Amino acid sequence: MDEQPILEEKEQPKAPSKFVLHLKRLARNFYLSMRRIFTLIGGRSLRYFRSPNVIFWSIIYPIVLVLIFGAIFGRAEFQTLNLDVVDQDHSEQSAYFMGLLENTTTLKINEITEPIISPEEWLKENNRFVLLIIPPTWGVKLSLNLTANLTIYYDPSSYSAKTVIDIVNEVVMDYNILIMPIELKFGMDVVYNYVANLSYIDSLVPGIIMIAISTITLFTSVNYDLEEKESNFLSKLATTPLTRFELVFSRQLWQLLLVFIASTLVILFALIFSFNISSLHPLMLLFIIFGTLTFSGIGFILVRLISNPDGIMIVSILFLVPQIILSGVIIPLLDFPQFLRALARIFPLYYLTEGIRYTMMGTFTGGFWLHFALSAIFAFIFQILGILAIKWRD
Amino acid sequence: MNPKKKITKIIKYKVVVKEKLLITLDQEKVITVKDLKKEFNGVDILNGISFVVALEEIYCILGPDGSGKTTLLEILVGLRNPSSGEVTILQNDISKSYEMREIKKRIGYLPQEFRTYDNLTVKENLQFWGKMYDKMLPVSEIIELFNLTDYANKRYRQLTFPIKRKVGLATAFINDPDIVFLDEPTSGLDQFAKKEIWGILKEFKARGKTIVLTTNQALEPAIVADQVAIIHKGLLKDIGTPLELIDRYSAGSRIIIRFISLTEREKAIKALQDECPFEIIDDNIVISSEEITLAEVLNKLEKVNARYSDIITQKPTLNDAFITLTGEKLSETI
Repeated sequence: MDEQPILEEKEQPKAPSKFVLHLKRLARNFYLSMRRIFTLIGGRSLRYFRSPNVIFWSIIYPIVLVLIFGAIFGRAEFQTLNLDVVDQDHSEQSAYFMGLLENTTTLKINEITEPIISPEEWLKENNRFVLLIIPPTWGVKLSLNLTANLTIYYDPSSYSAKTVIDIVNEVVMDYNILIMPIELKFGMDVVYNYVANLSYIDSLVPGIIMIAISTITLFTSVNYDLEEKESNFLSKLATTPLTRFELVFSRQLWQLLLVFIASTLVILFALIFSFNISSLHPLMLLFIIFGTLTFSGIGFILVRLISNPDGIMIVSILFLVPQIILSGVIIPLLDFPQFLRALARIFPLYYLTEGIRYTMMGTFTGGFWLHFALSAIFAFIFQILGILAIKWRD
Repeated sequence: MNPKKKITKIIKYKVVVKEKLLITLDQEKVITVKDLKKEFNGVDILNGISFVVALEEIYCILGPDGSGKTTLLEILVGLRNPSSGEVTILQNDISKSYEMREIKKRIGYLPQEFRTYDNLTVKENLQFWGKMYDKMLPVSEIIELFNLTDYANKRYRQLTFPIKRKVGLATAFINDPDIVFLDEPTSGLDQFAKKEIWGILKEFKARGKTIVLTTNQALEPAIVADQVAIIHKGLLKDIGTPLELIDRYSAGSRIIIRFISLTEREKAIKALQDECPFEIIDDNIVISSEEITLAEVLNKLEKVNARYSDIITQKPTLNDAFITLTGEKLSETI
């Protein structure tokens, strides 16, 4: 009889502590939150993959671009990237600059010592594509902190000439940074590591990936978000336990999922045309995320500002098409007049395309980091503005 | 499901729901609205609305388009903030965000003109909406309750409008809510679809649910509602059961006479003008049955040989009450 109370005490289950209960509640809330997020992703994905038209325009379209451009240019390997240089200055500075050009390892520098009267004629007669002239007193002017331009002659019909000019531009930019009177320290070494034997498809793929990202994120964002707003789907969602964070997070994850599928398909199809897979770099992922955040943010803003489905599509097209044209993906930027080249620099797609191209070429120069920083800034600004623009309740 | 089993299940369910709610509810008042005001761009959309909704009630907010019904419902479900006033739902204050989070777990909502995912089947759509909540009824059960078995595997876009509306209604009940808010749930439906939906609402009321719905149809509340709140231009005109409102504001039955021609009607007017007051509405003569009996009317018409095409006695409706209260007329179609 004496032992009975002790037995009863033992039989009674110990009540869980407040901390354990709190943990359990947190775990359950986390589970419910994840369930809502993945249900939203699942719902949108099912809807998306059951719409042939939408799949065509967002995923098949970039693949079609790869197939078309790949079929035309895919097998065209670049010739050796020759750069003929006439050094009329013979200064320490010009020698240093030529040394930088040599260091790129991609360019084969041929110094021309013979006198050239007409550079244009010389290019034609010698069947060459690019000629760089370092004018007399160039070095002196630089040391006096005066403007001293180089002159470059090239054959606009040659794609390799444009690549050579791109590389020279990079060297000029870095050299400018080195000699600027104001100290600008980026905290890095200038390293040139261009992939040898670049083909056209290698330079095209990054651009097509970015076109895919901008198209998919902007159009799906605009289409789906506007429809959900107009059909009162969003209003109904707002009356469920779903939070604003869960809504935005699920939308971003879903768009990233689409973007990764499209990018993978573009790369796989580009392999048919001997795309150099080793040019892929982990930093590409960051540019893909930046692109997704930028264009989905723009989509959120457009949905807030325009409620007419036709109007919003027209605005989206007007916003995106100039960016695609001026991004230099399909038509090299060098072929555009100066003012259009300047205009390209206000668009996020330009920095994203250039950034991802540098990444795939393994060119982590000052130019790359500028594009990286600007892409990140665009992503941050548009995403914040986009989230603020989402209106699902009064 | 066997009807006997179904009834037993409903009764058990009702008992459980009631017990659960009674623990938390004071005097079974599930919604309390006090002096609610909503102003938008200097215009008063709602002006001092106050009412109480009791447990297991079908509460109908009746008013024409633009009267503020939808705004009121949107405030109740947390889509809009009131300009002033107090609203408590299930003893939670809607102005406090953490209390609103609790409310959201226990309510269902069907907006006006609602569409869900087009390319998903009915079953997938119900699963989708169910997973937005902490708990949900089995999809198969809700499909059976809404008589959607034949459409369960059809995509939403393949459905007709009445079935789409039923799916929308099912999404409002999928989380087994204590209160359901429905914004014009039968709008645009034919009489058969409306009757089916009214039947479903009554069944859910029997399960212990409280339903708040809006309508601009005068006959709907009389069929389905326990309480009716008449709202007009943002003002709450009166509240009561449909019969109370009819008794309070209607003058009794009416005799409506339709004539084969205007000449015949003129004969009738001459015969009746000294006998009782009447109105001419839509070319018909309308007389209050409190003034004269049907037999007396027929006798008068016979004397002057006024030939009529139709003569009916119409009982007063909520529309009559609405006309008395507001001077406007609502739609009376079923």
